[in-house]
Amino acid sequence: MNRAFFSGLQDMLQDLPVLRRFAHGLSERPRMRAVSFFSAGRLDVTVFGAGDAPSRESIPVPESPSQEDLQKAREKIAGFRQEQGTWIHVIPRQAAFVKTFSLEAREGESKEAAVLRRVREEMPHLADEILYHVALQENGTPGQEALLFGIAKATLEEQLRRLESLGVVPDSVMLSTELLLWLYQNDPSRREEDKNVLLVHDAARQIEVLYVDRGALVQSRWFGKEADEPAAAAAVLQTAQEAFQREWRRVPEKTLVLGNESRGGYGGIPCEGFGGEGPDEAALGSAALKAFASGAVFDFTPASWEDRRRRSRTGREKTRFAALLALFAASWLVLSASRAAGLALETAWLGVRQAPVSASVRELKNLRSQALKAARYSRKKTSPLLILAGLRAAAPQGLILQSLAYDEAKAVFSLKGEAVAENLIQDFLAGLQKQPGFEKMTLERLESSSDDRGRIFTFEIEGHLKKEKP
Amino acid sequence: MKTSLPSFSFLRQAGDQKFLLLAAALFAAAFAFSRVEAGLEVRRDLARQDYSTDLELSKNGDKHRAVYSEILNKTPLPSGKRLERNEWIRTTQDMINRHNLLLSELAPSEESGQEILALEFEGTMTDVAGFLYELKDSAGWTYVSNLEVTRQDGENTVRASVKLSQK
Repeated sequence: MNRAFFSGLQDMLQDLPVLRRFAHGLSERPRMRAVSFFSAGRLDVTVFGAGDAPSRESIPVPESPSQEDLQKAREKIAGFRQEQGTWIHVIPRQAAFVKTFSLEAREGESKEAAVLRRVREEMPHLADEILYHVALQENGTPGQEALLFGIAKATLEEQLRRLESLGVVPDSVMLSTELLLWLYQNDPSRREEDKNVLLVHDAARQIEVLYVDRGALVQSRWFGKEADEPAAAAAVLQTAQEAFQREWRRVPEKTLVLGNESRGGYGGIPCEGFGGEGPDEAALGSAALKAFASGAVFDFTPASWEDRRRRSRTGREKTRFAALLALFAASWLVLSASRAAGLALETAWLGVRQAPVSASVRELKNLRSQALKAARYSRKKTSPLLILAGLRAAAPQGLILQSLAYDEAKAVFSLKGEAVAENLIQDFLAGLQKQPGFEKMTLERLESSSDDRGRIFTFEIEGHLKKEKP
Repeated sequence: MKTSLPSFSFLRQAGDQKFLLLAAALFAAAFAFSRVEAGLEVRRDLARQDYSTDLELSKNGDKHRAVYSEILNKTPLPSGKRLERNEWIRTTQDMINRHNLLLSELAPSEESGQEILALEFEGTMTDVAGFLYELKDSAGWTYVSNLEVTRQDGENTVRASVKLSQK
């Protein structure tokens, strides 16, 4: 598809929203994408458009919504969801389990079995209640360390149900902690030797802090925030730093805050931005989209929701297909209508130009019409004799014609016959081709057989009578 | 925890149906326009041909008049009215008899809305040719629309199936 063509088509259809959506669907521009997370009775959604700055929607979704609340929320989501392609839902740290533990495999025990055993040892009562996955990391000490990310199944189900009630089945469910760690580990400005780094994700009503040492996660915590103000954030961060020093006997060497917005309001605590442009939510959303595209971060969607997601995707694809179909039909309609209008105009114009000429030659045209009719009738009457004469002139000695069929409407005739030698048939065909009234002579069939007369060649030839010129 | 919130997938289904209905309507309209377009194209071609004929006649009228007159002098249009069925049958039978052909079947019928006479007869090739010659030289409208001649094994005769028309 020509990109310039569809770009032009989009501009042309600016005032027709439905058709503009078709054109949008056809072009190669990226579709709208959304990243959401629940926060204190609200669904915060960061919407990424086609190259525009992301926008933020905060939709009130109470724990026990009334039908009116739901309807309002659905309408708000439907407003920006129509052109949206991918929806990623992020579970915040407070609803998750993150643990690090050493992993020593016993003799004869596989790594997978060791992981399973250690998970049951670390969480004896919770292992079946949470959906988790385990990654291995090097923390600078001998042996490997397991890093467990998990979400309570009940929490996950509840959040997915709440999303579904709003008409959304996400394409991926990620854990914010894992996303932040992935973002930091893949940050081009990160240095391998950076020790005791605090990663801070300042969400509206909570602060998530990751303690990272040389790229490995040491601990992850979240802190509630009294108010969404810099002073409150600074107080929380101060607490987090002190907690880290107290627990790990180490001083944080660097504090990195997600996003690159000014952090001057952190009460004098020096910090740098990381993870990309814009405020926290934009950086987190952008990271989620990158992680989704690369498949690098674990998708916590339960198996029981896979089918619903597939149906949701199929539904979106069906809509897209139907829109494409309608656009194709609209293009065909416009093309046909414009061609029909052009033909009608041309015919009318010819009529206008012909009128004076036609009046002056009317009598001659009648004479012409009679002459053509007479010639046509003469031809109809003479055609069978023309064929017989042509056959007689072209048939060589030793060739016998068995049958002749002629159709006046199609001006076609066919011959069947036999000859004692093959070259007689070729001579006959050449003779027929020379006849002035014949054309398109073709040998349709040639067979040889032997009987008491010797070798006999049977043939079938088809030919046309030349069309008369008007 | 709420567990029975309604699914709103029907909203998306309504979207599909809306697009599909729109697509179907557009296809129907486009198909209708394409038919109109085909008809208009034929009309335009005829108008072009007619216009170019008129132009040619207006430029070289004398030359064309001479050619048409010559054609009409050499091959005049068949005279008189087209024969009624009974008269047509009788005339045809007389013609067959005059050429010593052995008529085995004569059946009037209709093909594509026009009346035809289907004949089957036997005779020598010379007699069949004579019959065709007489048809050609006759002043009437009758002509051969279909002809099938088959040589008969071991005999010097042919079997002919002929359809005559007057249109």
